[in-house]
Amino acid sequence: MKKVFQPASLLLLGAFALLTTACTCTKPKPAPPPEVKVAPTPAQTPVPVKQEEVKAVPVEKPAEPDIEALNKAGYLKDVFFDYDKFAVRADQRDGLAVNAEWLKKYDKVKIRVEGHCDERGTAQYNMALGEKRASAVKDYLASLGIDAGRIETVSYGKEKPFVKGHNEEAWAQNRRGHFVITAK
Amino acid sequence: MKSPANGPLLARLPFAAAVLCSLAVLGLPALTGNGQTKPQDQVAPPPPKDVSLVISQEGARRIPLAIPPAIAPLNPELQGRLVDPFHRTLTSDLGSMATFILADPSLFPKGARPTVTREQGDAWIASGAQFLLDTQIQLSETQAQPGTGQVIAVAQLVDLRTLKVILSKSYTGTPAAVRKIAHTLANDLARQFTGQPGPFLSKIAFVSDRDGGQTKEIYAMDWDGEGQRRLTGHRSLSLAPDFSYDGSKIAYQSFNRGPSGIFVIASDGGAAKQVPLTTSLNASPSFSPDGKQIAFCGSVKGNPEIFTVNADGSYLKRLTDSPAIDSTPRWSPNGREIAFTSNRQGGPQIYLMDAEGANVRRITFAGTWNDEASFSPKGSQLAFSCRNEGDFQICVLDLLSGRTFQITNGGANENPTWSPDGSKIAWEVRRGDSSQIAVANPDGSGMRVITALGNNTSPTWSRNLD
Repeated sequence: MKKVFQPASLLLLGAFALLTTACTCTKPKPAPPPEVKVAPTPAQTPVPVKQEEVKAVPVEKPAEPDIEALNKAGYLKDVFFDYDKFAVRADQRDGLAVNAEWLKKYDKVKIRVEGHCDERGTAQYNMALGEKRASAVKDYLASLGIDAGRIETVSYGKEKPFVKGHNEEAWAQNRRGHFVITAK
Repeated sequence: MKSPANGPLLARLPFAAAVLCSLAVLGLPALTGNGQTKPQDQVAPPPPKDVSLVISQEGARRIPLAIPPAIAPLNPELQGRLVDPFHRTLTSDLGSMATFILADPSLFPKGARPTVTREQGDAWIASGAQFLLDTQIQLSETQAQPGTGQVIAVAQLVDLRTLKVILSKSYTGTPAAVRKIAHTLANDLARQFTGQPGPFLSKIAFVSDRDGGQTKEIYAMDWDGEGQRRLTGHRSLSLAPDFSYDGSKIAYQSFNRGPSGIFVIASDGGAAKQVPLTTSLNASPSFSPDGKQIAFCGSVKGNPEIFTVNADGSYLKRLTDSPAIDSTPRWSPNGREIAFTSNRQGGPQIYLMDAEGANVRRITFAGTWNDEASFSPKGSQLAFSCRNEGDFQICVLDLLSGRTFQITNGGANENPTWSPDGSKIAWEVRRGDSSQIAVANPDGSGMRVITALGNNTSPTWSRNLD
């Protein structure tokens, strides 16, 4: 019995996968997909290629998946911090300046900055440290002319590490201000 | 027989003496083996410097106690359901106390119960015991209505040298409550010897990720790790629980409605209530002793400060005012002070202030990172997470002498919390990638790990004794 069904279900899966990829292509349409060319991330290149296919498929889905897609595309670069520090590092300023430019261009976009910490500090203090980091990023963007009202902050302390591991490489990745687009 | 017949009960190392002397401050008498009240030893004068060191309780004189399994009707079902859990609980409770040393069961005499004659007494003394806790268990279950019966446990504490019965008690409860009966008996024994009940009926709430899906929920359990149960069902990140002093409520931080909020839930579960707040961050809730207020770490414009608020969200008040990080408030047991952590002078250190926010002073100076203060029940000591280099350890600061003791020395150790009687400290210990909750004496001796499923962190011990 199982052997009979398996190829069939595989075919179905394949068909479904095709459909879903097609659907994903539709998503950029109402969003700011043209913006794609402007933004500096490498993730954009495949998007324009698929735009032709897009026309073939009727567009239904509104805002929500677009934001998801925008976040996946990674237009906004995360910021990294030194151990037990919340000051924006000099080497992180260029990235923030690029983020600010993007935010100026797409001025309907609202964002959330998440403050994260590495695992070494105490959980409770890190909660406060993450708040400081998120807030430092917000303040820096505001100093570059971004309306602070577009930026909300949240701290996750050391609760949501990006990278597993107990070494400086992992820790450095986990001390970050992470950008999430919440509205466009 | 090695046991000291009339030696002082409490001739201990200075630190242990200091701990036990807090009982003396209460005016509670301690009984010697003869049932006489003896004055407590004086606290040894502390050495002048603020030195971290580990003191073990080896060499302390403990009272040798024999706890044979309860006498019960011969019935395998009864044995597994009642007699074994009763015995396990009783020996676990009393064996955890610094007061007792349990006599070796392999040396117990056959029979010799009840212990009435000199010969019988000597047979027990030969096993190294000085006292015998003799128990009997019966189930008053009628055949017509199985499952409706009551457990009756009868206990007698016998001084084997005089053959006098020092304590005689009878306990009744449902079969499901057999562990509770054992805890109650253990508390009565603790009261007999130390003047106050042990922590055996208290609860520990904690955070667990065992439900998976990157969620953390608030759980609670008995002090020995039995009866673990989930209290919250947010399927979100719920963190940093704190018991109200009367044991009825638990406050915690949760992201279950998006931004972080402070919630209060009954300690036996039920619906959680959010404390309405205009601040963000909203971490580290700590109940005031009267249960009316909650201190917490909140943020306005991205700057974490210590706030207090009524449990209904009214009277929000900011206590600290510093551009630095202020976090992790802990209300003192007398309600007059709040400990918190701040990096206002560099690294994270622990400070004390009045409950109104005035009179801020730093109280930890050693090490590079100190946080997560926990007041002992009498308020005279502070346990906290301390680090100089490497992993965090647990330290205990004696607020009267200013001396600090490091009580752990392996793995990473964080988030200490005192048992309501001050006889134990629980904390989270991480070894490799696994974090679990451990319980030990305040000097770090007698450590046991009491959780195993998933990662379990942030223990908070209930503060009421029953």
